[in-house]
Amino acid sequence: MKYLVFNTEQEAIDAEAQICMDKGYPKVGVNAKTGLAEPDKQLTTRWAIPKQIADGRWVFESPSEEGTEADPTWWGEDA
Amino acid sequence: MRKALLVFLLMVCVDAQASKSAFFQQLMAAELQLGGGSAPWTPADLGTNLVVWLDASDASTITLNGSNVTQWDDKSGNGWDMSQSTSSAQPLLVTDALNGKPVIQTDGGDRLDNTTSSLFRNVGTATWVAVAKHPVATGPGNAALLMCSRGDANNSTRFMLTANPSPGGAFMGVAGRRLDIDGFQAIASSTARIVDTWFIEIGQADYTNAQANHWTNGAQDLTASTFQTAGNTSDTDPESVNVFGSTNLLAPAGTEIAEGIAIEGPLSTEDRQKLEGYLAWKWGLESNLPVDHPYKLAPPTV
Repeated sequence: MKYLVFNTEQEAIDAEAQICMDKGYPKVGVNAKTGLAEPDKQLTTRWAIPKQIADGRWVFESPSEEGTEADPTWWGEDA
Repeated sequence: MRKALLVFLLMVCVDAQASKSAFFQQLMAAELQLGGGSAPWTPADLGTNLVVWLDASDASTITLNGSNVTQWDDKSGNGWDMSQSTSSAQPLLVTDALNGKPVIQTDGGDRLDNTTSSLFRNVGTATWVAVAKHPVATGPGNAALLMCSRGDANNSTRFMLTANPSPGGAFMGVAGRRLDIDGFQAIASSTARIVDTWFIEIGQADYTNAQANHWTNGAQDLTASTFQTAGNTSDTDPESVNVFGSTNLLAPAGTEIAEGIAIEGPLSTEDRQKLEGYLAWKWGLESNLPVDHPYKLAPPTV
């Protein structure tokens, strides 16, 4: 999985919002057995949630092959 | 004819005075199956101790966004469904993956959550059960298959079934804490993961006796009498319950789960063995069970 990296939170929010618009979210799911829409169940509302990484930048998962591989030092540790 | 053969085998076993108990149980289970008059045992037969039941083979419980899973319904009756509204974090439904049945797969950033349950709240015993496949033999540390967070932090564990308790290297095991204020503790079993191999895993926090247990494929591979302190868990609702873990504890890419179950309260040896037998026969993993397992020859019935 690759990530898109931004210097500010606002840049990341704007980029993610554009992806959501392109994908037509929110989207109603369908039942895996019947194939019928299930509007009363979980909607797909967005592509990704931007996260701040250890160096202060903001990232979210890329919807394509473009982007940067995650660096393990990006994430904190909490068990 | 088949029943007559079973009776003959039973007489031979008794005469030989060899492994009577285990073999007798196997024969009885086989005879019940061949008799055809009994209903299959399912986790529903655990009664109110069954608190979460996720079954990837039941397509009616799964909602999709394309091939991505947006919701995996809980079959326990509690309605503690697991869901994910963010597309990039939705796991994949893989069809015809295990014994002709579908399973759920993560790409390493996926998880399904429930944020409204009271799972493992104020209980003396917590048990997670999974039929799972691991894509790597080592790391990442404390990667979760099934996880219940503590009451005040959604990325901090109350109890998890983990693919790699840290420290512990390449071994399956359990991890967590009893009270929300307690320190985190991870304990490895003696069973190493084998890449791309399916396991039936049961992890148990026996908080009442400050003990941790783990069984793999019907055999106990962990008994630790130094897990946390004796008593019940915190009387707080978990911030979240997760399939494939939480923020910093996510299962690695390629991890697959076919069935996940949570049980509160004591789990008898008899019920645990029925659970193992049910899962083994359902998912085509009966060859994984030990030769002396009571459901080696046939699945459990009621």
